[in-house]
Amino acid sequence: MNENQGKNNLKGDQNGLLEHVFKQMYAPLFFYALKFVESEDVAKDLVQDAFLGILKQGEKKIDNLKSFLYRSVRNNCLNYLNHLRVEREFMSSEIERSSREIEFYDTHQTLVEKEWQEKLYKAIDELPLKYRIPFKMSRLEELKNKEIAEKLHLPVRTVETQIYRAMVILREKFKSQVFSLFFGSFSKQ
Amino acid sequence: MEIDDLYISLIIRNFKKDISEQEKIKLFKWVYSCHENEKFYYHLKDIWETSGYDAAIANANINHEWEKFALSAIEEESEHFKERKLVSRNIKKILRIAALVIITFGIGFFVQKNIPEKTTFTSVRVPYGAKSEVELPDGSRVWVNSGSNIKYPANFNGKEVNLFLEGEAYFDIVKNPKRKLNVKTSSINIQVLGTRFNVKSYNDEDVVETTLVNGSISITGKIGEKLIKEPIYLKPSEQAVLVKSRNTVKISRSGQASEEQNAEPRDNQSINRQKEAGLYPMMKINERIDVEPFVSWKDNRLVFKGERFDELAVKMERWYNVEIVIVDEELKSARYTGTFENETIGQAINALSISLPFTYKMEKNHIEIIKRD
Repeated sequence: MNENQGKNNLKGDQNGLLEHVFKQMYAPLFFYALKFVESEDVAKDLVQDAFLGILKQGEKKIDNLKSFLYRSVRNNCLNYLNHLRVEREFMSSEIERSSREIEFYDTHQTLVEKEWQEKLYKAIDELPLKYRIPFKMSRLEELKNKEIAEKLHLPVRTVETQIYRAMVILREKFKSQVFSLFFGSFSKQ
Repeated sequence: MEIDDLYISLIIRNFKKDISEQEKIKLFKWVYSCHENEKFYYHLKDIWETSGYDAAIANANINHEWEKFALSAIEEESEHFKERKLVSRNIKKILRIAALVIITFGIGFFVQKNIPEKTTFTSVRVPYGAKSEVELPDGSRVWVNSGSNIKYPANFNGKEVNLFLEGEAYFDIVKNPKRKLNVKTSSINIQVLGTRFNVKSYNDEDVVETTLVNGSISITGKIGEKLIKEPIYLKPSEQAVLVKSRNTVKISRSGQASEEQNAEPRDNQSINRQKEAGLYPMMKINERIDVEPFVSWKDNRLVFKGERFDELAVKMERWYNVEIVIVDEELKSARYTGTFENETIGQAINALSISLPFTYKMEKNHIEIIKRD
């Protein structure tokens, strides 16, 4: 009767574990997908499909759940973009750009994971004042560059440069730390 | 890395989505001109995006997303078991399919019966143009309408039994006070004692309708972050209408759903009901309705009373497995009253065209309704 128990390592009695993984991984996977697809609803669906992929594995063992999920979301995003490419010619340059970006992250880092996100927030707060203020106004208060320029009595170009400088400083802090979403190999489209 | 001021401006404005197509082309020409530039650009984009993520927003939806996943997981699991069963070479198990009593008055459906164990579910899917009747393990009966899918556990021994519905079904549930029976949809949960009721919850429709014929049921549920905190109890001939996309604080009386939405409450009971409904901003309760048009589909009759043509067309699409396009706006809002029983789609459309000035073109499954001058 219980022949299946234990084999379906994430199902059945261990549903609690799957729920835990889902709730931990959902936000970073969602943000990761959102890098490449514009619509939040599409991103949600692609992440849902990635989790369903766990169940479709059946009794095959998944070695690294985290990289499995990122890999699935990655492939789902590419498939989705390929699908769009067929349907809507006029968007093609945008689609090429996103596809290219997806492939970039096959071998490069991103900060979507919670721990990196938190480190980034901290680093933002440590930025020199003259970069931090325009950057936060632009990013967190979502003001237009022109509005920031008016508030700070600065030319728009200067505001743009300060926001840019803020990001360059942040980049210097994180670029030497290597962390990969994918451990092991994944299928190329 | 030092870059030209022009590209600094383009990068920032691209992130702010304040950039023309021409400028974008210019920017990406620069980005793709060498690997260093491309890497640099993605690093900045990653920092830009990550600094704007609001984890709180993603997490606010997380329970809803989890429930959505759990629903599809059950479906997936039953399909997975089916596949395994096929390779298990155990003919006895396959024979159990025959033990499931299914009477159909539609064209086709398929059933997946699983190996009985804790998480085993049977799934019945009914395609467009068909209907199906299913007997549940406890003798209760369910009529499943076109384009719907229902999942139920292979045994009803537990204290709590959950059925999962997507689409429309009419339930005739055998009374059993020892167990809790729930009908779950993607938005609402219905708790049932012995009773007869209809639930319509198609994913592609904005409205979820629960119509009680007799007995009693209570409804809880969730749409996005809007929670129905306390159960809503329905009495016979009442209908709860949930509008997924809208905040409605409306009560209608005597089934005149759209006409009397703003009617003043005439007695205390109504006032109480109204207050009650106020707690659940997207729920509307229709009292003392004529349940017939909502449940007649199970007897193979399509009954409609004062129904808008475009709403009727949606029902006919599922009923006949066709696609109906109404070209004229005025025609869409015209109202119909009537019943279809054994009519073919051609006869039905013909009948409708007698009382309204339209002609139609029919090609295979596609019907176009055009206003007649």
